[in-house]
Formats: sequence, structure tokens, C-alpha cells
Amino acid sequence: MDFRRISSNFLRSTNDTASVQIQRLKTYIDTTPFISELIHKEIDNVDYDFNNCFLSRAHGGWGAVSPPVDEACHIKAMYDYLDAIVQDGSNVLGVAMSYYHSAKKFDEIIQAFLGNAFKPLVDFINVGISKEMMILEPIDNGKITQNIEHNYGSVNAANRDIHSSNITSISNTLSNELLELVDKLLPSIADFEMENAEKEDLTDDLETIREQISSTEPKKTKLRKALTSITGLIEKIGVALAVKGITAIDWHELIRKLTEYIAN
Amino acid sequence: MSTISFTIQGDSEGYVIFECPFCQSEFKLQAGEYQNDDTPITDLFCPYCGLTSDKQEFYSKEVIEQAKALAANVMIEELNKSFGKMAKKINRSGKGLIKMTFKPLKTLNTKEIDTLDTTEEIFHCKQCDNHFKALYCIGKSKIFCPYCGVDL
Repeated sequence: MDFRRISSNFLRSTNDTASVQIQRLKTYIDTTPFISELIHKEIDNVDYDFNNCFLSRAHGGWGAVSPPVDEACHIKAMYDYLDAIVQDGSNVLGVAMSYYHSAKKFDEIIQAFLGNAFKPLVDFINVGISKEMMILEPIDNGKITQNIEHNYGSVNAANRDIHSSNITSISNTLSNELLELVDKLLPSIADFEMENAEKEDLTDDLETIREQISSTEPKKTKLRKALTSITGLIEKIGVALAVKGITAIDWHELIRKLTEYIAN
Repeated sequence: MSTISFTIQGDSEGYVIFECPFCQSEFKLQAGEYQNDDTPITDLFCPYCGLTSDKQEFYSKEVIEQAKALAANVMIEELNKSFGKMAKKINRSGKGLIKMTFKPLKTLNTKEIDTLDTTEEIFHCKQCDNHFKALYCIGKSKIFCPYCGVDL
């Protein structure tokens, strides 16, 4: 993450901070063994002059960035150019201004230049780091966690590590409680002080919940959508939820139980 | 100075779209978590390239265009009001010698920003307990939490 933060600060440099940020980036690249090796492995056997990529006075006196087709040459050009700017102590704004720009503010001119000139180098390093992290991550040994909601027979899985847990009893109780709540809350919607369209939405959501929970393979996406919709409407109605013995607690209980059901 | 505010409608799960200023990739953040007053955020990380910047830099192009259009409309209304008053004053006191007419500027069309449901997957960061939506190529790329920058 350090490299990502340093490179982000570099790409978002302002006129005041550009000189410092470019030096920090160069120093970090050179003093971090992994990044330094990554770059040198790519560019050490490459012979390419960065002036062929970063052309000065190319178009009517303006500088231009002309990246080579070969990626290794491009990486070398960017690294060498970065090194040259830092070693010369050049003013980053001065360098940026020599390239054609349409921005009016100094900060934007600098950011546009750094993005055009050095973003591919930052991307190359980030990708290299990500690949290394993926290689170093522990490999999944194939452990299977099997959650059985309705067990009507024996469990038989492949010949690898198997960890089975039967959550039938918990799931059934929760399903029944949810169905009871839905049956209790549905009739109360007609008496809410809200627009008919909203009442219909709320009714549809409760019926979706009832339908999905009663089915053999409930679709959690539909339950999640119904939950989001109900939560939004309930927050909107607030205290007006108390109707004919039904209170806000019942609605919040429904939301809580449904969230638990979806999470299981 | 007047303040202009507008709402951005989230998708069906309450996620709002953002755009990385570095790689222009789009991702979504849960509106409630993004606006959480208990844990205010100043910076965001792009879940794809991992680079970080101020959270204002991550507004999508649509949001920025909307803000500019609304600001322009405020300015247009003020200009129309000022020139209208000026025209009335001059025409009233000109005694027919001096007359001023002006054509009011037209305000820009604005519409509510909606976030559509798309195919991104919801990710949950165990470090900071926040959620976001992004496209994920399993085994081919790393993905980073937009809030804390940790790789998932």
C-alpha cells in the first residue's frame, strides 16, 4: 500500500509539492528491493535512449511523449527520464510546461504531464506487486464447507476435506417465524397513511418474502431486494407504523430476522 | 454564497456510482456507509488500480456535469434577475429616450441522476467492515477496498 500512496501523491502533485513527490517516488523505487529488482529485470538488457520517447520541441516547439511499441523500452525510458529529472534537480513545472497542455492552472498542467509521462510506469509496478501478492497468497487446499438446509437423505461429497454442518433446525425455526411475521404485518398495510403506490410496493415485498421463504430454493437476491425496499419505506414512515396492535417493533423484528436468514 | 445540493439515486441496493480519476474505472459504494458521520472519510482508493486521492476526485462525470449545470443555472437566474431589474429601471426612468431590452438566458436542462443495477459483485472488507461493488476477475487481478485500501 505504501507504493500506491506514494505514487498517488506523485500523480496528484501540485506546484508546491511536485519536486518533493518526484524525489520520494524515485527514492522509494530504488530503495525497495522488490520494486527495484522488478524494474531492473525488465530494463537492464535494454538499450534505449529516453529522448526518443520524451521528445523536446517535436511540434512547433512543444515537447511530446512518443512511447515505443516495446514495453521494456518504454519502462526504461520512463525510469531514465525520472532519474534525469531528479538528478538535474529540474523544476517539474518547467518540464511540464514544455509539453503541449490545454489546462490553465499550474497544478493541472503538472498532473497532466505526470500522468502522460509516468503513469504507465506506476501501473507496471502496481501490476508486478499484485502478481507477487497473488503468488504468495496461500493456495486453497480444497476444503469444502457444506451447509445443508434440508437434509432428506445421506450426505455424500467428493473425496477431499469435507466439513459438513446441518443447519436445518435453525433455518426451519427462522423460516416459520418470518412467515408468521409476514402474515401478521400484511393486513396492517391498508391502514398506513401513505400513497397507494407505496402500499402496493410494501405488499409486494412482503409477498415476495413469503413466496421465497416457502420455496425449496429461496433466492437470496430477491430477499435482499425486498429487505432493502422495506427498510427504506419503514425509515420513511417512522412513528406512523403503529396500527391496530402492530408496532414499529414488529417491522424491525422482521428486518432483523430477514437479515439473519439471508446471512445464513 | 448560496449552497446547491442535489441527490443521487442509488441502485436497488442503495449503492451509488463513483469513478477513479486515475484509471476512469467505475465502482459503487453503499450510500449509507459513504455518508456515515461516525466514520467520516477524506480519501478513497480505487478498487481496481489501488491508487488513492481525495474523495471529491472520485465523483463520476455525470455528477460533475450535474453540479456544473446547477451552478450555471443559479448564475443564469441571477443574471436574468439583475438585467430584468435594470431593464425595468431604465425603461421607467428613460422617458422614452432610452430603452433597454434583453433576452433572458435559457437555463440548462438537468435531470435526476439514477444509478442503474449492473453486474458488479458486492464485496465486504473485513478490515473496515464496509461494502462496495466492483467487477472481479477471479484469479486474474487484485481488488482493493475503497475505504482502507487493503487488498481483498
